[in-house]
Amino acid sequence: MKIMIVDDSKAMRMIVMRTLRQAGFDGNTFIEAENGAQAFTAISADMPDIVLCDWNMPEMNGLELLQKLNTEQKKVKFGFVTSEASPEMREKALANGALFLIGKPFTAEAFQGVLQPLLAAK
Amino acid sequence: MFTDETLQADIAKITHDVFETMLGMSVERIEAAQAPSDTKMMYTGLVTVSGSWSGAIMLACDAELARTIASMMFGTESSATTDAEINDAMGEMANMIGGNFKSMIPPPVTLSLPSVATGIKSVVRVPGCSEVGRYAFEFRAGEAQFTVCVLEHS
Repeated sequence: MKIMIVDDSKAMRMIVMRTLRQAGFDGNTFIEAENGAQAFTAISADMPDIVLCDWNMPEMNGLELLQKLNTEQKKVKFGFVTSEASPEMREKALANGALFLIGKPFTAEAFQGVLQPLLAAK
Repeated sequence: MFTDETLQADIAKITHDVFETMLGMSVERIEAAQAPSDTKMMYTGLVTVSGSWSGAIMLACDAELARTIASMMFGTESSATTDAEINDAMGEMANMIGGNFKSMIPPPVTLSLPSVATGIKSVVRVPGCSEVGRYAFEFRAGEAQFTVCVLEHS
């Protein structure tokens, strides 16, 4: 399965991928994007199974990406991985169709908890 | 919005959680920070917060610790870490500390993208802001120190 990681920080993309491997998802293909615009182009060309997206990014932030995917009717499983994990942000994420929001800092267990059921349901 | 005690406790918890969970680095809050070095290259990661509370959060350390942080984030040898990777890592660490701090502030509130300043004898200022908290931490029992500063817009 293809898991897309969208974050403007390369360091964070590395940590997310490392944590995913620790969480038991090392058999999957990881695709990286640096911002929402780059992710949208990549998703349009080759739909991943799930998108793990930062919120606060230049060019197109995570919420703008999710809204653009909704507008363009590109249906993909989508969750946020962000340092901004307040109740308001969670509410806004879910209201726009995100399936989950994982706060930074995160653990391997946090990814297991949300991804295992989603990827098993594919 | 924050008392000295709650600010200190909140920053200590956030900083500890970010370093421990993301890097596996156990850091301890210490009372007195060493004076900033006059000779070492310093790195400062910064994010600003705007809204019902406005200000900035800064994470500052010397180049050696910044390189260690970057190498742990990227999973590379410290000696192989590039300047771009150090800047990325310091910005992201400031972003995580600032993002968690922002989550304690009532909406509406927004967080900026991170920026990083470097220099010897460098002083980072945010126009209109003054320091309301400076908290020192040590890593590996005094081997390295860093500070987290909270600036509030007046």
